[in-house]
Amino acid sequence: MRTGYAVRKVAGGKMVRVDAVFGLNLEDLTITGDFFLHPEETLRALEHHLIGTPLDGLKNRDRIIARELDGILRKNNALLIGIAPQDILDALLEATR
Amino acid sequence: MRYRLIRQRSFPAAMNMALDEAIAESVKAGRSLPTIRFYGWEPSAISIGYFQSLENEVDLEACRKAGVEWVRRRTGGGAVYHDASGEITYSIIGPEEHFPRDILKSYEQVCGILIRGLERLGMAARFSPINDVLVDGKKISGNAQTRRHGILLQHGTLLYAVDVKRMFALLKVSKEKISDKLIQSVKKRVTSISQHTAASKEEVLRALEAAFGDGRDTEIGDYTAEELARAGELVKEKYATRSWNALR
Repeated sequence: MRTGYAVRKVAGGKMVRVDAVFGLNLEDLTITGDFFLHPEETLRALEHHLIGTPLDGLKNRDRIIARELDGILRKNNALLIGIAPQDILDALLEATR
Repeated sequence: MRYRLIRQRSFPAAMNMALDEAIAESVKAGRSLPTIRFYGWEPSAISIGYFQSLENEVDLEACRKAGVEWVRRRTGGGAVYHDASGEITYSIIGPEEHFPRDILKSYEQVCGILIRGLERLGMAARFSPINDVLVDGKKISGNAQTRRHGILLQHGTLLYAVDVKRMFALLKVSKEKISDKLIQSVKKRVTSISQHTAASKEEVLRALEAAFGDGRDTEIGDYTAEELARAGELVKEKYATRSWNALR
């Protein structure tokens, strides 16, 4: 099992850091940063959705997964401010490189 | 709608955050008026945003040595050093329907009150999305908001006198980054009220109180016994606990 982290600073926005524990799949991750998310509890749902993701070929699927995160935000009537789901995926890709 | 205005009083970090939550509960239950409170931090403290990692953001050892507390907020945003004498903090707590539904617009509306307060002191300030107020293009105020159970809480800081070196000693910025060059660059991006006016902290507070009172029916009030008791519980159960502060 490996660990890694990566930080993304969005131009004109906020910062997001992804800490990942991974092997072939993403075993665990924590998303932190100075962004805003209303309601705040939605972050757990985003993290849970990503855990278990196979990492092989993630680069080719990152936009699809970002859209899935968008779907979770919509389902929870949630608003992510200062970062976008794609920024989380970008950080995840770098953290698991 | 009438608002209660609670004048500046200082509390420990956990109590400050607990009071915000206790007041929100009382407002929700209709036991207290919507509230504007000004407060200080005694001792000085660092607050971190709800989504931040305590371990990554705060040099806990340096804080212990300096007698500086830390607490996790229930609002997002970044880590803030709250100097016991160099800063003014406010909260506005009221029903969501008193504010624009659009979160960014509601930041702008509340920050507009701060801007009008600074204008009363002769300072030209402007809102900088997402959640900042600038003077001369430099940050003077950061703000954070949450909405729970129909109640909006926005709290924020206004720098009165900034000590960038002390701030960097307590926040966990990689040691390589704490160069004079970085401190100079932060000094170029951050300003404080005392750099623009000779007004005392008391005068600044009166200007802000007047700005919050503009177009709003306000009465000077105080924390209720119930709010103080509930806040005391929230300190013990939540804001002073490791499980809350090291949540991430």
